[in-house]
Amino acid sequence: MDVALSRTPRPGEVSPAESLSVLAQVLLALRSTTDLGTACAIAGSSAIQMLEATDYRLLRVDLRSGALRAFDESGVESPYLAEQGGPVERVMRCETPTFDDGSTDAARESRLWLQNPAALVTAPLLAGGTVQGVLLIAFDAPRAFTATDRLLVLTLADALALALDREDLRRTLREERQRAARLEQRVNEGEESSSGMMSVVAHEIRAPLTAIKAYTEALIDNVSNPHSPRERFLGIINDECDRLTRLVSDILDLSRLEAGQRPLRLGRLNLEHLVRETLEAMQPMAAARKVEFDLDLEPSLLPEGDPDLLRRLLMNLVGNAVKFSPIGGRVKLHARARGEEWLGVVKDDGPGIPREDLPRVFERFFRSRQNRDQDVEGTGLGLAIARGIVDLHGGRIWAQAVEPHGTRFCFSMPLRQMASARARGLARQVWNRVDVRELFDHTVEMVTLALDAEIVSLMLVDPDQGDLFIAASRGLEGQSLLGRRTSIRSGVAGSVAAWGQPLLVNNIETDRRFRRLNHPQYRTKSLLCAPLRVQGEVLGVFNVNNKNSDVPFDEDDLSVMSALVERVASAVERAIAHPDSPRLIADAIGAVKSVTRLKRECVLGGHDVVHLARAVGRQLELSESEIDLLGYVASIHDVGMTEVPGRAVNRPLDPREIEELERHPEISVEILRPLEYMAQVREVILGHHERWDGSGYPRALSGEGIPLGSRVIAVVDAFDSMTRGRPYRSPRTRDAAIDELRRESGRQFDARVVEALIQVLERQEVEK
Amino acid sequence: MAKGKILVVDDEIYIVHILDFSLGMEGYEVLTALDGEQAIEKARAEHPDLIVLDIMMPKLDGYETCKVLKAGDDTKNIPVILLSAKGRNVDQKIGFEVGADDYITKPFSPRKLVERINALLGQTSSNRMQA
Repeated sequence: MDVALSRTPRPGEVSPAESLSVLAQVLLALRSTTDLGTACAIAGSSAIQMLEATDYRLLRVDLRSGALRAFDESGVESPYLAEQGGPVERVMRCETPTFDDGSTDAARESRLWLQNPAALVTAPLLAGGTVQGVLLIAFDAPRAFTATDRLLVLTLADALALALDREDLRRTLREERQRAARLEQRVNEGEESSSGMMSVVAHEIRAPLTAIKAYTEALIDNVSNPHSPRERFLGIINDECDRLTRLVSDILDLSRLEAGQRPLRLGRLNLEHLVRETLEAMQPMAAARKVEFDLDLEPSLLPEGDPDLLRRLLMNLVGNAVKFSPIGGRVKLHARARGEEWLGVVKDDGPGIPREDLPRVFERFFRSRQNRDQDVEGTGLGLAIARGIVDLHGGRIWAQAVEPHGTRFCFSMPLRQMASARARGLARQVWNRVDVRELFDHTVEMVTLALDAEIVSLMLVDPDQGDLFIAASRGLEGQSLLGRRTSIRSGVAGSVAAWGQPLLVNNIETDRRFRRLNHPQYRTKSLLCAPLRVQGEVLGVFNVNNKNSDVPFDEDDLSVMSALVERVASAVERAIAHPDSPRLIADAIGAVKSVTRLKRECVLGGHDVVHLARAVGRQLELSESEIDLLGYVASIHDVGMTEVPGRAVNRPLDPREIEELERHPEISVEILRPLEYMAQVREVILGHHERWDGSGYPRALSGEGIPLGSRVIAVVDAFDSMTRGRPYRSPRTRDAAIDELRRESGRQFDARVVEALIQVLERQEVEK
Repeated sequence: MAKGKILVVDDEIYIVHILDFSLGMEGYEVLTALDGEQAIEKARAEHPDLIVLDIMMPKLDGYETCKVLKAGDDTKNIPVILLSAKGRNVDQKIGFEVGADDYITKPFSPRKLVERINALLGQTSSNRMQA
């Protein structure tokens, strides 16, 4: 529990000495406790005791959405939206406490109390330069606040804010540790399974090779021997070559399936047709064992799927069933619709698989004991391939034992490849709001300019049909957008929607997942695609094609794009959580438009700056998420410049203009506030004109007191500005710029960052 | 008159067949088994002069089979050649630890296998004569 509420007032006089001792206890408790719930309860009840208040509340800022959350006594949190014009909203904006003594009829956040308090203290909990939450202390009678009262409240708020901040840090640290542990485990498992896989594959390949080698040698040694059964030996060699071929092609197929996250070539399939076609192909094999097929297929079952893959799935399952059937046995096939899915069953009356082996039969090269006793040929990969195919369709597959003997293989997959019901519901909420649609349109514009792309489109989940349609686009003017729809799991956009991971394709023609040849939309063959994720569901996909400069997109582009899209998504998330607060989207649109203007008007924050900032981050061995943050900030930190008058004048600035210019970090933060959920981003932006020696602005921070990200941006910006030149200053050479950075090391710049940049630049020079 | 009696054990039926053929052409009498349990049975019943034993087999694998054979009074003197797709040193080491007399990796040359068999049988015969 993060916050405890107390409703027990403690009447009676409190002497300053008592107050002091209570305060000391509170501070000690807040500093030493790891249980924040208890600490907050202590802080709250102490506040009531010291100030003779009646009640208190603690609101906490949710770090991702920026929304306020209130906690009830049982620790359950509920979103809380500050009332317009109320004290909480004011405190959040001004970041200073208010002491409302009850002499006015000011609003007192009616949603928080059963009965409106007569006097109210509202204090921001400030730590690390951001508001962590709000502390409210309520009184049932008007009250004049003394200087001591104020000091008490401020001290308490400070201690609480630090405790909240510390808990955040601890949680982040814990999450990071867990993430690192998970990653490490996954890497280890991957290595193990791939080396295990290699030795198993080697063994499987060596078996047919052994036979081929032995029989060939026997043939050679017995060329003149009239008794050698040459034809039989040649037949065996031929069979073993076939076995080897099947094995190699199965291994390749499986590795393609397991590469995963690839699009399907979807179509509506006549299932009965597909089944009969497959059985026809298997007829010779079935006839050899006198096996007959029983079909029980729901008529007019038209599931959506990849026909080649589904044929292969049936082939593998039916092939197995035939192989394990007794001579003259029957193989039964059922298929029927079940809700939004369809269920397929292939049943044989063979000897069956031991129960303990049933879950393992889908593993590569797994062979049940029963299987090995029989002389049954196969590559050992058929069921692994079947599982891969079902997985790609978003379905599942399992095996059951049949009494008295036999096995039933069942699979179920979606009838239609469409977005989930929850995603459709959210998409409907989003699509019904004109302002959100407008936000999307502006976002597409922003992404187009930010990535210097020719074509950008946003495909959204259709609330009714569950596929994706183009909701907003740039660069597709004059082309018919009607009918430009794509199913989930189909094509690039469909697979990003299905898997929810951003995607960079360097060459659409050679990428083995896609292989789109000569498509006019892919002029540069390189594209980016990022999911729009709201409340954990993918509601749409941003597609970015063709960089105007004709160079392919890279990881830096993908990272900036993902960061921009994530911020828009978090704004949409907040808007859905607070439907009665239309300003949220309007403010987000304002921010998006400002970034668009920055990209259109200025050369600031271009790809070079992003690239250098990320490279320096890597050189400094920052974590991936820190590097992403650095690249994102590099691309948008100067958005405040769009509001500075005279920013583009062709001369040095006068003192008044310089003063205005120096406000731009704060203006940037202000502009981006509606989109930004990370306090860290705000801090890095705010600090990017601080100087190592403390002579920078706006806060004259110095040394390590300046966030590392800000120090990196400062150096990279300076380098970019020097080498690119400004309207009133001609560009310098790279070497001259490096000399200047070295001169300012330890004065304007962090020497470690300058060194890192120089190393990056030197490496780039070598690579050229 | 056959040169000797050889038991060939492998779960791959094609391998059993080709060894049957090759050793037969050399003048050996060939017995076959498709797994370790069968192999032990036949070794006890038929007292072959040499056993060619595959390692990767169902039921009882080649190592286990070899251990059992080398522990049995009536079978411990029968030379064993292990035959396996595994070719790493560690496998060879285990092979000799369980008492195998020789080791050949798949894919193998039947001709070389016959040479080894001849050598082993020659060696054991001379040993026997000395004894």
